[in-house]
Amino acid sequence: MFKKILPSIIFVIIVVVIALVITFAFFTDENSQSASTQNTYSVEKETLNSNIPSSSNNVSYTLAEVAKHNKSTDCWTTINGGVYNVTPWIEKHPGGSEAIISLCGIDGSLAFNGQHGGQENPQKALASFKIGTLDK
Amino acid sequence: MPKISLKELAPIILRTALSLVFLWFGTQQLINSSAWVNFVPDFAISMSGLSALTLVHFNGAFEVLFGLCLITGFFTRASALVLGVHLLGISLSLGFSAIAIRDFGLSMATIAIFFYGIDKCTLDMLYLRHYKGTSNFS
Repeated sequence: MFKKILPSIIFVIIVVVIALVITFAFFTDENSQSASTQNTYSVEKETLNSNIPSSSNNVSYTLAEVAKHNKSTDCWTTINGGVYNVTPWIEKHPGGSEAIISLCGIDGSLAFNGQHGGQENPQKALASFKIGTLDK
Repeated sequence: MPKISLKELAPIILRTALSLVFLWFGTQQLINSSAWVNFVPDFAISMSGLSALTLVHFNGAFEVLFGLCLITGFFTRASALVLGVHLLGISLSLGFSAIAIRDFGLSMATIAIFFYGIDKCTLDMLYLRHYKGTSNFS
């Protein structure tokens, strides 16, 4: 039995080792590059949000105001009472840009909670785009 | 040209389609890594001692390599088992959500490939035919 599965075990070990080698050989330099990309991204985000008052939590927007930002180049959405400028996230969303574009200018609570409800990391990612709260 | 019945075609379609899923997500993690960093669970970072970005790269390379093995049918069963268990782990770590249910379904489909074994269009089958003179293997 063990003799039969031994080649498979060796194969799996070899592939995992190759994956580790690829990670550290080809992406170590890119780590710093990606980190700088992330920094650039943060700067871009700050630039994008620079027109918006800095104390985002104190700023409130009406749904009508959010609705004006309904393009992929200027995309705001409201989720669970918060207002978010998710324009920089459109091209970076792992689930595809369409999922974010479909929320531009509207209340995206249902879609977000349906996909990411209860997940810590998407909540964290979303929080970084907060520009204010929804005026009810 | 060898005849392939619909019954024989089913596992080929399943294996190819699932391989493409792993290849797509794997390459996305390699070329657009920063977008995936937020999805790395905290326990993986604390347990491995690696940065979230390195974990994304490793996961991407892992999925691409095993995805290539699965699509070509090289160590089909081993590749399917590893990818299936890997995705099952991811789906369980996501809690109860739409993505977790989708990943659970995909992981079960991948494990089904493991249970089925090798199909007609795999390198494993080619090897068996040429070097062992048999195609009766699962």
